[in-house]
Amino acid sequence: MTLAWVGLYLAAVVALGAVAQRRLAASGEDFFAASRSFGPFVLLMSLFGAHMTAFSLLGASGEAYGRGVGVFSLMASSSALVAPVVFLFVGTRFWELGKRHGWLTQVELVRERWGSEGLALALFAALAFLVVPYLLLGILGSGVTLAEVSGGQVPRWAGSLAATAVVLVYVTAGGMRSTAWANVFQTLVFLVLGGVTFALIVGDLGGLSAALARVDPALLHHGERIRPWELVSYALIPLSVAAFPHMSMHWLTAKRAETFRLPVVAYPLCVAAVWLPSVLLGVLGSAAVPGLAGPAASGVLLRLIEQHAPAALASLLAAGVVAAVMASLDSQVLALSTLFTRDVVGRLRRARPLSPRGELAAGRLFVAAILAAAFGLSLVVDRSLFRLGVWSFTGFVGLVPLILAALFWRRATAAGAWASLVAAAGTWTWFFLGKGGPEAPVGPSGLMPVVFVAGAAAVALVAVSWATRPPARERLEKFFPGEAA
Amino acid sequence: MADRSARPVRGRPSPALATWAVLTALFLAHHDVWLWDAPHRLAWAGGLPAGLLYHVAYCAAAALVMVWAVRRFPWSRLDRLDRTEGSGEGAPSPAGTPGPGGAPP
Repeated sequence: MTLAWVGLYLAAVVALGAVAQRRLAASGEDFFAASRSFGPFVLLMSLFGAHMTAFSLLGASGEAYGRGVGVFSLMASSSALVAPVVFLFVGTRFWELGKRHGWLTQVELVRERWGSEGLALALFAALAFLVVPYLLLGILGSGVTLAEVSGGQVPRWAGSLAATAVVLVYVTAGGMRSTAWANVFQTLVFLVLGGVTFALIVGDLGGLSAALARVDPALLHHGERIRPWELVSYALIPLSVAAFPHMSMHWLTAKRAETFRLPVVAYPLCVAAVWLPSVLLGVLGSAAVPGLAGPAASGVLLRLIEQHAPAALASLLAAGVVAAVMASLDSQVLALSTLFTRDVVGRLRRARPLSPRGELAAGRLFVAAILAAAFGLSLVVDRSLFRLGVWSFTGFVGLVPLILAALFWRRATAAGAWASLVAAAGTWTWFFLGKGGPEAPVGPSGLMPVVFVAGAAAVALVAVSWATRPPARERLEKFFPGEAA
Repeated sequence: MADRSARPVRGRPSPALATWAVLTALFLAHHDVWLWDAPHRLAWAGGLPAGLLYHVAYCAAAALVMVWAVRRFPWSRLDRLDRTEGSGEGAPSPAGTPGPGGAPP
């Protein structure tokens, strides 16, 4: 019964992809950016669906299971402010430049900004490297979900394979258009079903107040489980939105600049609507399903659904979790495919450019290759979804100074950009290879690695840019027309 | 919608400065050290812990500030791009682009 509902849901998503395919024009721009044609609601839902991953549902509830309600302040309320600010200032600027010059990726932006093929290639490598753990979040999350809701009948690898296959079908069918349509559908599904899940479980536990009374009081405040400097450090994590390739691709789909108004205003409320039930259910799960440890805690939400929701609804609710997982997986895969097609194949074939149909075929081929590789990796990775996500976000935050400089700082030089990239990569690698996790305090500071990665990248960018010759006026004219003094 | 950033008023702080001041204040308000060790639950809020309720209210406050910020953002400069250009290389560029302050640099 459970699997039948999930199967039905997956079939509905595939059908959406098929409908989108009918409207697909045979061009890379339509496949990768839906010809920049989306309105405010589709933009909001697709941005939100792409941003909210298994990290937000399974990872957040798993983390709250062990660390309490403070997890909401670590990730949700900081995202509620930082993400819309990034959309408003960085998103609109990227949209403007992309529309004016026909760019589809951050790599194209950086190549044109500093005229360096090597820098563009290095940024491509960094973005691709950092998206992979993010992809794994989705693939692992779908495996965990389907294994839990089927009571172990479906092994994790088979659950991951099913979700991967469905994403493969609808992304290759319609590219950005089917991805965005599927995201609208899936985001609505997980928002509605998330609320239903919360109400059903809390009702079965005797009401919110009674259920919270059974929770260890230490989980109901920050206390010693969350350090003050950790909260400060975490506030930087949502800045990663500025460097996510899948978010910037969605920005480019906006029909007009003012399309951004609704996403900017509604985003904080959408974040709260998803994270509040997730975090609260994780906390309630600590009393209702005790004894989960390590990566197993990521399954607490599914355990609660299984134990406290009516059987018929449990399967539908599980489909909602799969929806959230796939809504981000599709965007990340499409973004990686765009990067490969435009920034690797497109550059290698500069002398003999791909035809629109060739670009489309290459895009589809890369979607399939990336999903196959990510699925293979998911078979050998067994880490906490939350930790995996925070490492990835930490790396993306390290790229933010470079992206901001490309968009806003006329004085930034190619050497400065290189220095920033090297500093971010070096510090991230140093911390990753060290003993502590992405949340471990660095020395006596109490700050997390993300602060040092972003700090090193920003200092290197500014110092080296000031020490080197300013960029040529002609190059700046493309970015700062009429003001490139 | 009025494009307020395009109408600076003499003697008042610039719109970009005011926007960033409000955003910075909201950012600082995120770090609620005064509720750090407050485990008490609020009966009128369904028993939610005070610290959690604060951060939920913070999200609502962020939405309200965004309503204010988008009203001050210079959309008209970007929408000129919609009216005068299509996508693709070689299209003419409008003068002036919004800077990180929400107003032209």
